[in-house]
Amino acid sequence: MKTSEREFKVIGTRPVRHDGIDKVTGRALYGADHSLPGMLHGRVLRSPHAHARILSIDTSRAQAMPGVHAVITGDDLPSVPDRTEALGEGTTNANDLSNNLLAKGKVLYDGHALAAVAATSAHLAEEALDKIEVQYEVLPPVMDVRAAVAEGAPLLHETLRTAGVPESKPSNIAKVIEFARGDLDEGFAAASVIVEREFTTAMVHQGYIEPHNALAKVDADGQITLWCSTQGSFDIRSLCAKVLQIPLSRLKVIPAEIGGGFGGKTTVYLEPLAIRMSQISGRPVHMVMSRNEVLRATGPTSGSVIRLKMGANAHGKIVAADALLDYEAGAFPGSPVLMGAVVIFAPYALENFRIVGRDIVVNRPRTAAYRAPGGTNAAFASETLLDELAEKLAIDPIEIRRRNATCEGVQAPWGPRMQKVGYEELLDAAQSHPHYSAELPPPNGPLVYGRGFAGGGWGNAGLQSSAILSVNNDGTATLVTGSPDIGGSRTSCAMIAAEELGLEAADVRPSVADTDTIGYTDVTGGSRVTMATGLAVFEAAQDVKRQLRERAARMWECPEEGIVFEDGDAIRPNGERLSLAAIAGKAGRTGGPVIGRATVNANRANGPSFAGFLVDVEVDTETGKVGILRGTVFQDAGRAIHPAYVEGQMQGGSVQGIGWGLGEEYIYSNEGKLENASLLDYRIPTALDVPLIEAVIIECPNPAHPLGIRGVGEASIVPPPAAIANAVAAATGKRLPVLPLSPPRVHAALQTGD
Amino acid sequence: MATLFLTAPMRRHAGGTERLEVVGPTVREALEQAEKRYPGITADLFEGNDLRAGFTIAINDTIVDHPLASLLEPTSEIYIVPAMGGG
Repeated sequence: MKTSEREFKVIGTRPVRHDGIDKVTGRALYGADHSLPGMLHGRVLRSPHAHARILSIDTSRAQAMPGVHAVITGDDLPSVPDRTEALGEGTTNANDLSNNLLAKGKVLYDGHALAAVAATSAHLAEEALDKIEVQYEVLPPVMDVRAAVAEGAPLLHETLRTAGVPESKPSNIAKVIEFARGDLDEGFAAASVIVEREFTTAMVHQGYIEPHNALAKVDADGQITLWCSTQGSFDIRSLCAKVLQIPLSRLKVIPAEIGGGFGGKTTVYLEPLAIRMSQISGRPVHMVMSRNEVLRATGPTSGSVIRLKMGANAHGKIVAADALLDYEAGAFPGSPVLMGAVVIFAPYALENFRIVGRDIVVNRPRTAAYRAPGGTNAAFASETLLDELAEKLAIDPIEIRRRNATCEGVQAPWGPRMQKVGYEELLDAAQSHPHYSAELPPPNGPLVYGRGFAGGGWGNAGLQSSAILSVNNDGTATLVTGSPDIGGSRTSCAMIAAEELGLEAADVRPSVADTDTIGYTDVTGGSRVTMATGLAVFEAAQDVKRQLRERAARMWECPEEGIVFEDGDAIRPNGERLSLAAIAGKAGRTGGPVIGRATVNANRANGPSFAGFLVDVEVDTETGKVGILRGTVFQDAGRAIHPAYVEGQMQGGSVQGIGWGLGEEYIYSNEGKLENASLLDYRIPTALDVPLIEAVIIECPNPAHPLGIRGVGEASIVPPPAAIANAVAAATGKRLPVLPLSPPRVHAALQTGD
Repeated sequence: MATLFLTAPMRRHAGGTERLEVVGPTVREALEQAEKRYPGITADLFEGNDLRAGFTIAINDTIVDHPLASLLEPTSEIYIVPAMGGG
């Protein structure tokens, strides 16, 4: 049966989440809540310089302090291979990762960790940090991509050469990637209108509420237990094992409840340090970052400079597009420029295009994944330039997108053909939504109003997942997965199990297991959990159903052939039924416990998701302040397992995108010191800044997935900054190609006409 | 014959050609045929005998579970795809 024809009983409903009561009553245990007898408190010494050579580190005075049990520097971490390999969510250079944990030779950004201390109290540990003496040779910092690629720019890494460029010299450009097809010259020659701009986006942080934390306990036999807030306990295990050069079997990672991650908790900062200091001291070591540390030394995602040229014919068909994306990697290679290159033209069917991306190191924190990494930057450029094309051609901005929309069979810019996707249906929904035709307020003194739309796509990730589904003898079930639950995924997975077994969602108890308890499971990232771990759960449920048919046959003392399992009952060909509870109650006499299991590589079941954001803004032309009056987000979820969680993801992504659009940015001094390392000065939108975002779910089932699921966690962050800039342009007549559109920037542009 | 779509860097080894006809029967053999025709064209794709971390293979519209061992049909389109993640 096609998924689109199937009637669901649990999927599509909105049950209370299994972890809801614990979360709202404060009983849920987060990383910082854990403690152990004899636990030490760890703190990290960080560089005050953006770029400096470390001449010496003297830890002797700290080591001598009573109550200090461990002091470590980069010399206390083992040497690891200096090469990129499959590690963590994607590929990682373990040597770079190690040097980011504790600097060796040079510090490369304000906040770069240099040393760590474990002591009997946090205050004592902080006092010990003050006694560590570091001699620096301060070097000129390179703070953005323009400076980094300039002739004669200081080099962050003297041995770094450009991957993808034969015989390159040492450079701050770590990598060049390219997608291209067709003939650009021919395409632009056929254009009726050509527009070209340079766009700049700011480095921004994921802004998770819960700071990074780790509690490590190393036993006398060398066995290690680690509690931490993470999006991927198996990835944390792999990364720790690699940088500490220990076998995976020696390390057990227990994921705590997580207070937000958005990609930023897919890597390690404190975890290996806590383990190393526990190894040295023989006592558990607990470490929790301050907000200042989170902002200075974790996350963020790349600022970027994007040069984009697009041409369209008189009908609005894009005939050529040429993009150069320069992304800040931070201090070590690894920006999401590849994904920016994937996203920039993802929603459109193009015949002639070139996309070049450059991964560029700068004296800023090592970037980490952030919800649709690289995509928001790219769509800001392509979706505002497309809006400008529509304006010049006098075509409705949604209509021009429809005329170019990707669909089944179109070859994506990054290679393969598209399966069925819902972008055309999404555009239809946006164009016919009452928001699109609602009256805007008339200008009122200095206040002017505008409406903007932008689209965007995200490919999502497949990767590996495992699930164990056990039937209890009263007919309820217990579900174990390895996917830390950030957005309600444990309930979504329980709903899938309940749907397949004919149970209520509340009859399935889901839990997120540690790395010793469940099979390997990749990160909670790439919008993958409900799709991929959900696939593992679906297949584990099929395993359970197969066993239930077998058990029913034994109870009926008949052949298994012809028995089906539907709506919670095994059914014989003669219509006789046995309920799940009846079969489970006799499991001890029919072969023992019924336990289904599945492991999957879900790459084959993955399906991209497209989103659109429609926004009304108010611009105060006297102050430059842009306010959001109304926002509606549209997204193709494939199949919304728990619509409230899908809506929550769509609203959350939209609000984060509004943050990119209006206020968030890393602000550095000329010397490379981060000047807004607090949430007072780093301006994340609050409930006072945005109205309730209306979420419109489109369901075009993913044909590659048995339940039609697409990931929904990321696509919604891609369009908002572009939509806001388009709305500001509609309100003021000014195209502003720089993010964020903060009051000083908008005010200056309105005054000067830039 | 199956069709191997060349990435932009691969095309520089093949005089700008965007696609090659290959017979397989597996993806590995298809890539070996491309390498024979244009020496160096697959050098960046391999680390030893395996596909380098960061690359995978899609056939038509699906990323395959066994990139190099996947069997090809005469109508298969082979795409070399960068491994993609997310946040």
